[in-house]
Amino acid sequence: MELDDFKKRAQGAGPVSAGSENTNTDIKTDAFIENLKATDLKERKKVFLLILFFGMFVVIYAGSFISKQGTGKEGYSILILGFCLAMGYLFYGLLKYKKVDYGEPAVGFLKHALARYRFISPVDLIITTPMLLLFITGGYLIVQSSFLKYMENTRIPVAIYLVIMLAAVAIGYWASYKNWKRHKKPLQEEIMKRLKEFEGQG
Amino acid sequence: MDKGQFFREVLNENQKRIYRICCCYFNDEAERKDAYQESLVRIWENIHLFRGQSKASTWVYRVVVNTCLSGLRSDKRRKKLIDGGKGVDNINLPDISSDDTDQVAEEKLVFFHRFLQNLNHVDRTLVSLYLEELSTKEMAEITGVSEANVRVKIFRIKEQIKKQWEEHRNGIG
Repeated sequence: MELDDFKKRAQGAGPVSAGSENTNTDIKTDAFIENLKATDLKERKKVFLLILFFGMFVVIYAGSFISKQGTGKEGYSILILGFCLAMGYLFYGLLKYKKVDYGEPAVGFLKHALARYRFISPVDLIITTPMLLLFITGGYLIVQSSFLKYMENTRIPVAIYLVIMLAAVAIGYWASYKNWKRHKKPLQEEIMKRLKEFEGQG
Repeated sequence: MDKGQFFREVLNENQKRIYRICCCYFNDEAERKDAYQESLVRIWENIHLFRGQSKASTWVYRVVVNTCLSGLRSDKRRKKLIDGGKGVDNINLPDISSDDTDQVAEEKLVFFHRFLQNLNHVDRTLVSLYLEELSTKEMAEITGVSEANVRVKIFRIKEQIKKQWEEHRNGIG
């Protein structure tokens, strides 16, 4: 038996849209395209709603920044900056998966997939580190100014706030690692295995 | 060219080949249908990235191969969005069943599918493209493996199938 025997078998099947079935096929293809277009529209609406949602957040924070008098003002301005960065990060995340080019040669596609499924990429670190610092600093300034109204020494509430924030960051990191290990790591390993096969090491 | 028109042309010219390539990756009929539908969705989503630097068919096969290689990790929710989850019922699935009722031919086919499932992903990809009579150059363009390497791998697969078939017929395999 030769591998080429199966070429004939594969080629044996006639064209899909032939003869009297032609119109039917066109109708079905048209319906499928319409569904795809409808899905595109839904996706665009989702992105628009997301922009609106974060826009509202920024407006609310900006509003309270303007109306706020005295010491907590800096804290709010830093928080707004943090939210803007978070918004950018969210869009980057969306685009990262939207921009996956399936038309690449398989080896390149697998290499890019491997990079996408890393736990924390350098870009993630570059964006999230200042973002977290902005949130913590902004919150710190707000907490400090709020407690200054009631007590002279704000060390204890500020220390409690910092401990809570650092714990939240640590828990967030741990939870995302667990989530990545459960859902993404097996995929990453599978991709690695396939890539090795393509590169002749598997 | 309009996105819909391009998609329609691509589908008309390659529908059967797309399905046959999916068949090389999956044994189960439902998985094949999923892979086929997923490939069509990926083609649609990636049309804007097609720069015309290669033949449209080569680009289409890349999308199909990559979709199959990524093992259908797609978002189920998105699938449901398409025609309320009945997307695949709305498109024509090519019939690749053979009219050949000959017992040996049937045995060969069963053997071939088992052989295919035991191949690694790169070999399975190459076989699926080889059966579509693609040139070595095109296979290299689709997989990213060098032409020389493609030739060597195809040669080895041919030898392997011949040997295993003989073993099978002699009752060793």
